[in-house]
Amino acid sequence: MRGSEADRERKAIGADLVIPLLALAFALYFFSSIWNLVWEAKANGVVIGTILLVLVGIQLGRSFWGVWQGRYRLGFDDLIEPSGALFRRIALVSLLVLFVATFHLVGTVAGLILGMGSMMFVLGQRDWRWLIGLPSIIALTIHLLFVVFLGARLPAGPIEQGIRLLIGG
Amino acid sequence: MGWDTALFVGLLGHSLGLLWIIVPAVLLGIVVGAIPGFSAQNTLIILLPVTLTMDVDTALTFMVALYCATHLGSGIPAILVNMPGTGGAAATCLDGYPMTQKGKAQQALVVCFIASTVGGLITSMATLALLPHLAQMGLYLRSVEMVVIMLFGLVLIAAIAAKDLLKALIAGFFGLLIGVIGTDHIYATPRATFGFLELYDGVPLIPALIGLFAISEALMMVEEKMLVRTDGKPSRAAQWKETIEGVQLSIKHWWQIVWTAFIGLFIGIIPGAGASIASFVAYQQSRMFSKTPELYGTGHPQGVIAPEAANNGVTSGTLVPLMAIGVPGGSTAAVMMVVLQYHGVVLGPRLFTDQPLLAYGIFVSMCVSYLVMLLTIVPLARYMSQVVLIPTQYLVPSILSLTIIGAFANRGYAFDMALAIVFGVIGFIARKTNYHVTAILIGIILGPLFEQYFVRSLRIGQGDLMILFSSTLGNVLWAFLALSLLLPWLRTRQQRRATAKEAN
Repeated sequence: MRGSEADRERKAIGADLVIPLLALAFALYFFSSIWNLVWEAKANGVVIGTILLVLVGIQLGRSFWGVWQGRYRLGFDDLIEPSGALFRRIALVSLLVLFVATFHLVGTVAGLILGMGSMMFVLGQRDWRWLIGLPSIIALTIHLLFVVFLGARLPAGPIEQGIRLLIGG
Repeated sequence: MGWDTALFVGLLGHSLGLLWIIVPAVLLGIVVGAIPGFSAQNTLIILLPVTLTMDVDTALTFMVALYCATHLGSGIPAILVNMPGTGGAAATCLDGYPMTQKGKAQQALVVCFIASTVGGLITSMATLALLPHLAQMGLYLRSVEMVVIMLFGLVLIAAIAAKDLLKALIAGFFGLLIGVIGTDHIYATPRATFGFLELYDGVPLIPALIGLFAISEALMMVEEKMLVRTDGKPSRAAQWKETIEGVQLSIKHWWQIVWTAFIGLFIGIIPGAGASIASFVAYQQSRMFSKTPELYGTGHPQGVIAPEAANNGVTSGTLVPLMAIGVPGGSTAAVMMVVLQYHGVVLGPRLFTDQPLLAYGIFVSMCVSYLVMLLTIVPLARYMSQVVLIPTQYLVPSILSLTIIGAFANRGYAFDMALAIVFGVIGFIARKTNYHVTAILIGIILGPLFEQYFVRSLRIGQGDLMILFSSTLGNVLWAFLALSLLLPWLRTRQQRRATAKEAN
């Protein structure tokens, strides 16, 4: 029991290491991709990548030294707390991914209504009038602004085809 | 050609007669500028069939008004929801959003609008008076000088890292390395593209911007019920008093509006440089010369004035090389060139003698557009600031939906939406762990430009690094850069000594 309390008192720095580790992985991949290129193609990347590796090395060294000395622990508190918000964030990102994967099939307006309604549900809205009303208004505004006024080519689905029939386009 | 008052009055009357096209262009520009993913360039390309049917004066006035208004519009979401409409407003987030969090959204918006419009107005008038001389300036700035100008922007990475320099440097260099993704500038060999053809042109700025700022900020907002904490008290209705406070703040810092707008003008003249570089350089310089640099990043009005005045100063600068030597200063100017050439206008030095009404008229139209913006948008700040009172339950899904479509609309690739989500997650982790997302973005924006000028300089110098110190103007800029780095250090030392003396 006492051990876990002492654990909580130590600062969790696991989350602090995510960006340096991503940067480290990317720098190594970058070096592997430019290894055989001429100097003009790699000069800038080599300079930047080397400096980045040094900086990441210092950050990792500093962090692990702190863990070794018992000042820090490798927890991810900054990223995962509060847990309710974590689940909502994961759900929002998943809904975004789902929207990207399906909006070509269902069309932009229907995709936005479904996606936005689901996001509002995840964030605690339970009133179906809000869940349908606001996403519909936003989706139709986006359609009006981007497609009708600005002529952008967004994927069309059944709702867009209905609108086109309605306005005789 | 000297100053001709009669010509100017005639042009002013002509531009005022075009208010019917200026007003809708300004409104459309503000809306388009406020939506990430829809730049002035895209909108002008889409509306090209419409502008080609207009006569050349009307078409040019429409394009100029829309272009200037997008620069102003992009600051609105940057202040209200920490989501810049374009790269040029990214630096506005640094102090604009903290002002909103302090409950000063209305003042921040007013300061932003006045800095943008007055900055744009002053620089377009200056351009009108000094056009032939300014046109020469673009010819003096070559790759070597551009390397130093890029470094001015990059120095900001260190400047914004007040709390943790190491984290800011990691974020900045990570961004710079991401900026190197894509084919190289000489042989077009792909580098670190993960096998995606969509990355051959480099990392697209719009999805990176949307991810790092909009998506990551929306994910941060999930923890709060509202953007501004009311501590249980009912939210107060916006009042005119706050608009007046914003006007007073702008008047108090009028000199800063002027000089940072001129930074934008000079950077705008350089072909290839643009609003993003200008606003970062202006922010960095403003912070350096400020008596209270420690307040920057905490919701300081001067931190809003500098980038906004500079990114609107760019608008007139971008058109200088187009009109004077027929080289577009940016992508929007390139679209304007297409329209001008369609109407048979021959761009270059002779334009000022052959068609002075057109050559100077464009800048008078710009002045009129900025005046229209100043008079119409400042009173609207009171109503716009109410956005922050919308519960996050509605705001977050709206931001995510609008911006994810913005990521797609720019190039029409679903890949860009996925990229925005990836950057959103990276941005969220960076925000949560205090790695500055602005530092990552500075790297992504300036990285490719820096590489382009750096490698070009090295090729000219046959690999000899001393080429970077081979020009007088370049060396003057190097001296200024050294001063930019030394001055804050000397100031801190002086303050420490003063504090030590007081303690003794």
